[in-house]
Amino acid sequence: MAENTSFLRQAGFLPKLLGATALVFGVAAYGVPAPAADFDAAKHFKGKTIRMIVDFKPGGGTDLQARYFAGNWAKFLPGNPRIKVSNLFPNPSGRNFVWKSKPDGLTLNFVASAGVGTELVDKTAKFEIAKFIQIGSHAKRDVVLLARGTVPYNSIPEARGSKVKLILAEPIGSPADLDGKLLATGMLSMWFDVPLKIATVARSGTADTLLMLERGDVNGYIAGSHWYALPKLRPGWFKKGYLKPIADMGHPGAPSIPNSEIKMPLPNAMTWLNDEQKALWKGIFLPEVISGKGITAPPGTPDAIVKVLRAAYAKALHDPKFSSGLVRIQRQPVAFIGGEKMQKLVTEGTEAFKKQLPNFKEVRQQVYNRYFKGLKIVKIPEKFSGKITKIARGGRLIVVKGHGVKISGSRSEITIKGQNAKRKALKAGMTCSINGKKRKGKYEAKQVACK
Amino acid sequence: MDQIFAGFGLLGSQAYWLAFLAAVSMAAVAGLLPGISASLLMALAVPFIVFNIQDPVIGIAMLATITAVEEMLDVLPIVALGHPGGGQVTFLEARPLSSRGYAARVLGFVYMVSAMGALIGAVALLLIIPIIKPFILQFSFAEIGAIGLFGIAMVGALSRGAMIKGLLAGAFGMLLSTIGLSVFTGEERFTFGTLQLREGLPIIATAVGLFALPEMFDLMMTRKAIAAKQANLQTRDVFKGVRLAVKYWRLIIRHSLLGVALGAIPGVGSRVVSWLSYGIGISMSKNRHNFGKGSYKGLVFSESVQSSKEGGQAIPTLALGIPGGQSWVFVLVAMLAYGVSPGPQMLSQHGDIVTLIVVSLVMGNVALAIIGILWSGQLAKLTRVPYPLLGAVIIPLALLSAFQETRNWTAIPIVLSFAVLGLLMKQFRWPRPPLILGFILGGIVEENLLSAISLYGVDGMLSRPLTIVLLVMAVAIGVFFARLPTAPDPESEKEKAASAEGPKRWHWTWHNLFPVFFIFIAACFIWGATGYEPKASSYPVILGSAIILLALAQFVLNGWSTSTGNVLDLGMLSAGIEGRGRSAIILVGLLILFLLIAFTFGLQYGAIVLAAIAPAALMIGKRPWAWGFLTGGIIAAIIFLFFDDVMSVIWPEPILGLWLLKVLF
Repeated sequence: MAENTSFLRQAGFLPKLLGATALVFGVAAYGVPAPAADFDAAKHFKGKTIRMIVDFKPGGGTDLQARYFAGNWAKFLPGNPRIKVSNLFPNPSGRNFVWKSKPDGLTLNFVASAGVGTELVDKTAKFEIAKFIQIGSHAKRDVVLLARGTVPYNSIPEARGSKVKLILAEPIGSPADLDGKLLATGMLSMWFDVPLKIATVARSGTADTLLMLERGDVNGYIAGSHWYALPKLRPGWFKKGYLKPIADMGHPGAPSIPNSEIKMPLPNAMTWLNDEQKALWKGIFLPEVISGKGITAPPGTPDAIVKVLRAAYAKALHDPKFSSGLVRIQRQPVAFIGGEKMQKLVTEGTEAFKKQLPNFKEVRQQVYNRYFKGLKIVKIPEKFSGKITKIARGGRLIVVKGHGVKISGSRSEITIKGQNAKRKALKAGMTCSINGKKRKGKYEAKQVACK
Repeated sequence: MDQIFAGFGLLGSQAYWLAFLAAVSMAAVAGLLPGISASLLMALAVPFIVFNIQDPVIGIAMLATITAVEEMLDVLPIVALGHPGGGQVTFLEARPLSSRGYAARVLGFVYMVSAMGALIGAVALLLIIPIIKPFILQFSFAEIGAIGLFGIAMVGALSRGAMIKGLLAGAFGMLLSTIGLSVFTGEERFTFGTLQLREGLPIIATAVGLFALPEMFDLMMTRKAIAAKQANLQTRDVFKGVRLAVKYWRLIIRHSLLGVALGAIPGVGSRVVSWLSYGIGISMSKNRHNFGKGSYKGLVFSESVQSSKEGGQAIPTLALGIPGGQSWVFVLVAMLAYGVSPGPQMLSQHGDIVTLIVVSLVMGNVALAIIGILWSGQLAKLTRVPYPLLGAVIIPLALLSAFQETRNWTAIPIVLSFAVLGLLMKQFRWPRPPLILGFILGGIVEENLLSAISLYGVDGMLSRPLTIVLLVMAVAIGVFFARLPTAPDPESEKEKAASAEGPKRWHWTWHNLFPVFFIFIAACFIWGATGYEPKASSYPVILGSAIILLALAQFVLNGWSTSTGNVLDLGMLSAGIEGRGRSAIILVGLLILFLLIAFTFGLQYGAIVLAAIAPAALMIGKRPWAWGFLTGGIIAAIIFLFFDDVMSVIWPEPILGLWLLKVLF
């Protein structure tokens, strides 16, 4: 404001005029007065266009659903506005745009998931997810670990110590992607000592994965909405036992619904965990599976408009014709969560995730180090400490906190309880402080001090 | 059998014919407008069709028809407007023919070839569905990676006459394909932290920049029409093209079957098939120096495979539920929405759908071919329109289509940078086809081979019989091209003779700026890659090193020879034309004006102003400014009706304008 004043004092007539014009238009464009108590929703929306922002290129599942809403949701809104879909990509460009959009209910975000924690792990995210106004969600975010019928275990706990490896093939997602389903599978596998191998591959579309299963390249697959759609795509696979679920990793608050061939035979994965594991699971993984697709509005959207949007959303999803059409295109049952509940879930999820953020990074590191051969997403710190969980090649390689540490005979200085020692004296279970750095592409210890 | 005949029964239904006509019309309009891809069209069409056409047989057949015929009319912008779009191979051969006044004949020829290719693709679809599964299951990451390497070997075919330049350009294209997120480590490679480059260099912006804009700028600088005034553009010449195509029936069958086979392998990608077919075709031809100068055979290699691949891509979609190509994903989505399960049982359980798709593919292509043939005589006359007038519409459209791919500013500097590179490559006789082929194949090779190593290990990958066969074929074809004696080419011979009379000692030449440029870029990539994990860094480091070695070799060769080599690419049409320098300055001025307006007021306004001013700036004749109303009006209509209303595009913020507002107020 001070800058504007000084400019207007110094400049000539034309800039003054331009400045005044800009100010007038600026107020008209950006000033959104809060609708009064007698807010006329029909008047607000009539003849207007609602722009539904999708974070993906035209043609994906989220885009198709948004287009379904664009064609069918308007009649549930007062004033019957026109709804258009606009695509902004790559993810999270759409959320970034909606974050700064005018909060007048005419710009909405059609989201693929609640996106809890995105801004904490992706530096390109310019928003705070908990501050978006939740209009509601209409799909569950299922995560079901499936295995070929030929593997000798029927659940993750049963797989403990098995000699038959569970082989999955997935790409590493973007930094924004929490890799939730992979992370969760990795966490369960670590905790239950499951022989898991994750091959990093370039594509992970369901069609590619099904082909890999049929070729015998992999014997497992983490399904999302395909828990429901697979019987259509590969009829009889569940019924005949070609595939079976071995973990239901969805949100325990919303249990899996049977698909057209089988019921979910397993309890939710969280029931298998001890208290410590449950705390991690709740903070690290569950926020990501709060919900699937839904709609949000920019922060600051007036309550009266939010109320109208939430009511119209709920009305549409409870309309048999609308929801049966939606089921056809989303290929999973409608699972309605109202806006208020979603707001609470997202706020709580964000808090829980924030609390577990340091653990999240560490657990992710451990999972990657253990199951993605040769892959190090997070750099190993110069100094860290923890228990030795594995020793190989006569102490030449030890694993501490999931990090592989090379011990050199000449360059690494080893002490056990303050006494100099040789590397073969290192034992699994010892708690050690490691000080080292990367050498020829591998982390090598300079000092190892164990108790 | 009853199911199959039930499909034919639907041909008597009015609903089918209405749907068929709608599908063909939509595909025709989309095919004519640069910037609308089959995927975009399908994304718009799927929700409408699934919820408005109750009969799944008709709905699915309609979507399949749109997918399969959308590219049929692509040749029109290539021939008549000088816009290569996605058909770079066709452009390479069609433009010289159009310049010589054969636009009508080329159109007739291409439509006939496409129709025959589509027919073969559709018949193959019907015959192959029940038996395809074992074939498709043989192709894993390793085999697709090996096919990619096979394609890389084709760079040799496209480098004829200047092998080192071609290999260098191909390796450079592959290096560019490494930009973006590594799916193996999650690291962002060479993105400068930009969100917009995470998915890599946008393919349309890169191809439009490298291929389309240099051709358009070149034609603008001629200030003439594509074809001479005496060019034969009558409808009877279109039929001459049709008759000529029939004479090539053996080649058409051979390459159409190749298109079916390549299309049926999921993961090979639509963009690759034309180049692979072209490379294979050249390698099997005797007179190779005709390619790139207006060869009808070259058009057969490109177009037959393009139309027949659709039948091929339909095969895994229907038989296995694995989309054969990007737009077939939508057909699959619609099938599931209609409750139709794909699989080898499609013929027995849903034979009516398969039959109707086959019939629709054939009829759709034939219908568009007939429409194309009947209109070609008139449409070919566009080649007589002064190019500054055509270019005033096509250049802004090309820029908008590049933007449409990314929906952000990144596309504009990318498309213009590649346009500069493309123009320089044209001017200094460096072949662009290997660069674009390398760019397309680079990602396929890296992603599939690394995926295969991750799944099977190196030993496991190299013990797969089909992988071994394909790798041996790739090496063999590479060696074959390297050692291939070419038939004497009069132009090359002249250049060589001139070169022999030149200086005998090594000397500096401005042509050496190119190798220096490649060395600099490769060194930057290698330097940047050192911070990545081995899985992300090894490929760019290997490619960068190869580029440096090849560039050094070319640097030395340039100093010894005055010959630029007779490369397989289009030369500068405007070379030697009086006033070319002035035209070039005007063109640069127009582009600067476009950028200024785009960044100050908005991209859409920049495009409209460019379209409105270009005729006045570059047209020769009376009242050229009056034409600006027409060209500016066309672009404004496309922007407001299509981009704003249909696509609801969010235009990027005018960053310069906002900055000025901030500074001034």
